[in-house]
Amino acid sequence: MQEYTLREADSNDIDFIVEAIIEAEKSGSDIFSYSKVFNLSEAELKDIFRLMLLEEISGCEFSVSSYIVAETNKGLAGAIGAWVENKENPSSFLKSNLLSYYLPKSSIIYASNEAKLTSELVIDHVHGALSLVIVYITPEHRGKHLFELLTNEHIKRNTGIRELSIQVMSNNLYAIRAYERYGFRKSYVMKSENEKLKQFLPYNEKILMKKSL
Amino acid sequence: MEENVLISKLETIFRDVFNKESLTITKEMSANDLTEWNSLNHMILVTEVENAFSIKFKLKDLNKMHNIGDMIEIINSKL
Repeated sequence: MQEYTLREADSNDIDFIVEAIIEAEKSGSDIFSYSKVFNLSEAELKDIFRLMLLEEISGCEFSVSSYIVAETNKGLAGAIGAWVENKENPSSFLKSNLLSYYLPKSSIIYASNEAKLTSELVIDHVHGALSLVIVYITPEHRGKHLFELLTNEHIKRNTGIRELSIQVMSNNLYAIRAYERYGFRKSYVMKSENEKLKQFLPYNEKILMKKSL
Repeated sequence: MEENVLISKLETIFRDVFNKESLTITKEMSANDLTEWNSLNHMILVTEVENAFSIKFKLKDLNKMHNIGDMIEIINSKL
C-alpha cells in the first residue's frame, strides 16, 4: 500500500491548489464555470487564482491555509480545502471581494449581463459545520481512500466540530458514492429548470450532503 | 461629498443592480437583509460603485465592508 504524507498546504503548493480548484469546479465535466461566467480563458484565470491565493484571505477556497494535501515521494496526490463557515465573514463574500479586486471589470460586466442565472444554484455553506469545499484527488491516486484520509486530517485539526457538509453536482456519481461511503447523506437538493444554466455550470442540479460526527 | 448626496447616488446603484425600483437603503443594511445581495451581485455592486465614484477599493477595504454604513465611510475616505 502506498504511503501518503498528510500536511497543511504552503505557498509552494499554489499551482497544485489552482489545479484542484479548477478540477473540482469542473466536477468531471469539461465546463469550467469561472471561464464561462467571466468570459476568460483557463490560462488567464490560473494567473488570477494564483494572485488571489497569495493574498491569504483565510476562510475561503482561495486561501492556502484552507488546504490539507496528500503527498508521496513522487509529488502531490490530492488536496481538500475545508473550513468552518463564519457568519460574520461568509466565504462567498470573501471570494467575491477577491474576484472583484482581481478580475478585469469587463469580466464582471459580462457576468452581470450574461450569467446572473448561475445564482439560482447557490447553496449557502452550513454555519458552524466543517465545509469540505474543494476536493481533488489526481486520477492515478483515486480509489485509495485519500478522501477519507484528508477529511480525517481536517477533522483532527478542527476539534469540537459536530458536523461535516459537502456540496456536489448531481451528475458526479463517482464523488457522491465516495461521500456516501464515508457516511455523508443527502440533505437538500437545489435544481434549476433553466437549461441555459448548463452553458455555465457542469450541471443544473446540486446536492448538499451532511454527516454528523 | 455631502452624505445625503452620496447615499442617494448609492441608492440608485443598489436599485439598479438588485432590480428593485423602490428599494430604500439604510446604513445598517447588509447582505443578510436583502436576498438579492448574493455573491455575484456583490461583485457587480462593487464594480458599479467604483465606476460611479471613480474610485478603486483596496482588498482590505472590501473585506471591512460589513454593511452600507461601512461602504459609505470607505467611499467618503476616497473622495
